[in-house]
Amino acid sequence: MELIIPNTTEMWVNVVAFAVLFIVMWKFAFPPITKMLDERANKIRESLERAEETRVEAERLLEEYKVQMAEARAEATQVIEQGRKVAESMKTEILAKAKEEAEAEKAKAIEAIQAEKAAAMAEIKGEVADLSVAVAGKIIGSSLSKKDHEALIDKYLAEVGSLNEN
Amino acid sequence: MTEKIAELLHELSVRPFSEHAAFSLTNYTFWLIIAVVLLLVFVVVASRKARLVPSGVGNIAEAAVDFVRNGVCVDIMGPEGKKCFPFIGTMFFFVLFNNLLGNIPPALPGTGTVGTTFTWAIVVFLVYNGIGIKKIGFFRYIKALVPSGTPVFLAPLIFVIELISHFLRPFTLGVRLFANMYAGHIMLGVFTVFMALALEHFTATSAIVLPLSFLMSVILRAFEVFVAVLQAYIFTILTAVYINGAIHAEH
Amino acid sequence: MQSLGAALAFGLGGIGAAIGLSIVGAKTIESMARQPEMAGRLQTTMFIALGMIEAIGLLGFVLAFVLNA
Repeated sequence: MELIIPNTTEMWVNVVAFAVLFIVMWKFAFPPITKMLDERANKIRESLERAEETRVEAERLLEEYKVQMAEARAEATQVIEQGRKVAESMKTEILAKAKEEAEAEKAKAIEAIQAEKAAAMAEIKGEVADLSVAVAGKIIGSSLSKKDHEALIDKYLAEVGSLNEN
Repeated sequence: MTEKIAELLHELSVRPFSEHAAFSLTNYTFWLIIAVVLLLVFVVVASRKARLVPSGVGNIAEAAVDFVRNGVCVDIMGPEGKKCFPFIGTMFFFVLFNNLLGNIPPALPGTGTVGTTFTWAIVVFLVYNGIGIKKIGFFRYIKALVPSGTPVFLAPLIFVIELISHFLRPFTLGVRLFANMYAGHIMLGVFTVFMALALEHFTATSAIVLPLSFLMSVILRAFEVFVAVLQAYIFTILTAVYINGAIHAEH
Repeated sequence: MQSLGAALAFGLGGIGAAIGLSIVGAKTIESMARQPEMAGRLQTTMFIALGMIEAIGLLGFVLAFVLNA
């Protein structure tokens, strides 16, 4: 029976032990530890939140960069395209001009050649007439003066005219 | 055999620690005071070492504090349970240190005597009823013993049953802790007695009994360490449940 | 005679507590297997029930000593 009858001395010792322990724990021991635990929990939560924010921000930036990159690329393509178009038109223009010039040059050259040729022809004709007269004179034995020549031509013309009268 | 067991029981009974002591300290209270001093040193050192990045003793204390605060107080009572933490934490550390110290051989667990466990159980009883009465007043608290919606003719019966169950609480709380510690030490002692007997009259049976008893006492020692932690936890969690019941008496 | 009564007190008390504890344990495992996400709360509740049942068994243990003394 004595087993479950508490000893009074023990009970008083325990009451004192409880009082001392509770006051020490409550006032001195637990506050720094619980404060630290709360602080750590807050810090971890804050860090996580900040990390999340940073991640969102980074994603936003990345998205922005991507858009900018695409824009820049499109612009670059446009610029190149435009350049090519300008170059193309320039090329055709230059080619056309060159062709035109060449054409004009050619035409001029042909004209010049034609003129030369005509002049040469005329000269040759004169030469040939003189020569043939000279040759004819030599063959006939006497050279005809201009006057004789003209008289001959007239006589010839008169003969031809009489022929016509028949 | 019987006299050895009687000797063991005498060893475990409450008796003066020393005949010469001026103050009549019992064997259990002697070890209880040592456990309390160790606990005070431990918590003061731990609270000094509380850093944002914990280390060493601080780490152990923080793990234990966090376990009691979140695993017991908040789990049972919800967020407002943190207010009760100093009391429940004191309970937990006191019981844990006494139980564990009792597992180091010459020491006895300070909780292995009814003087300790009943005192602490009565403290729990007074505190939880005090919290309940402070919250809603004495008469409403008494009235709340009978759940609302009970038929009028059953109310007196329920009231008496509830009253008895409330007054049994400190008793069961104390007996549970005491009996666990006491029974554990008797078991350990019984196997030690077996070993002593086997060595005293060394026969063929001793060759079997001796190693088996040794093995059993090793296993039981490990089990006792487990029980020490478990009983500290149960004592704490029941305290929390009782306080929670008192806070929410009217629901 | 006293010793016999003591042993009976502990033994019979132990039977009741053992049955109670086995039911608590089995049901807790069953519930945990069914709802693993509730394991933490179930464990807490299990320990409360375990402590209350255990007290009954231990009352028999104490009674045995009281009767025997």
